[in-house]
Amino acid sequence: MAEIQKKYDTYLKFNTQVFAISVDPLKQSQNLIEKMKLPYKLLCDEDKHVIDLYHLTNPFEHNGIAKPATFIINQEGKICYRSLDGTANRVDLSDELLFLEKLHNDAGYEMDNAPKKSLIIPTPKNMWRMSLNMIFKGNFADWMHFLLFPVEMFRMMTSRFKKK
Amino acid sequence: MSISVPDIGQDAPDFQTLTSDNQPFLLSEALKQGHFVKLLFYRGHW
Repeated sequence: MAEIQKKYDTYLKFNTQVFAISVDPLKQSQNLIEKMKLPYKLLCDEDKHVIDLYHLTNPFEHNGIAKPATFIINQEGKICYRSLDGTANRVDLSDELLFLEKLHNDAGYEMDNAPKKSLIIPTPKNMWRMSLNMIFKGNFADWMHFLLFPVEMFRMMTSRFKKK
Repeated sequence: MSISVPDIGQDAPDFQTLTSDNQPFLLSEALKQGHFVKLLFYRGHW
């Protein structure tokens, strides 16, 4: 989210409005906007009907939260870009912005290949935060994702191989 | 997961919800403003 914040002007340049959605309640989303000084809007899906509608509910964490994903939708309401991300891997934002540039020049443009993903290597600060979450909040999910790192890597490598 | 998640070329399911400043948000209304919309689903901070 912080990365999007840094590139927000580029989104505006390509005529794109950004909305981020989670099951966080209003107050928590307001706090996040203030804390991170986010220039885009957060949407609150407390009753989880949107994440259910998009089939993005992860029922195994915190009684159901959103799986990370990105959609870019054109003015006709059609999805022209989709990225289903993991906690330990994601699409490079520069690839997404390159796509937006093409879309800006041709509104009917659609992504023809799944975007390439890169692994997220946790920093020592992230590891410390994840450990605190595990100890004080009983949240094992973050660590679990990173322990599954080799599986994610194998999945990424085989998906690239299959494409060839 | 990817089988049932809306895919490229499909219509994005319309929905109504609230923004963090407690204003109603309707996807189809946002699209009427003539912008592309990036919808980012994130895990949240619980």
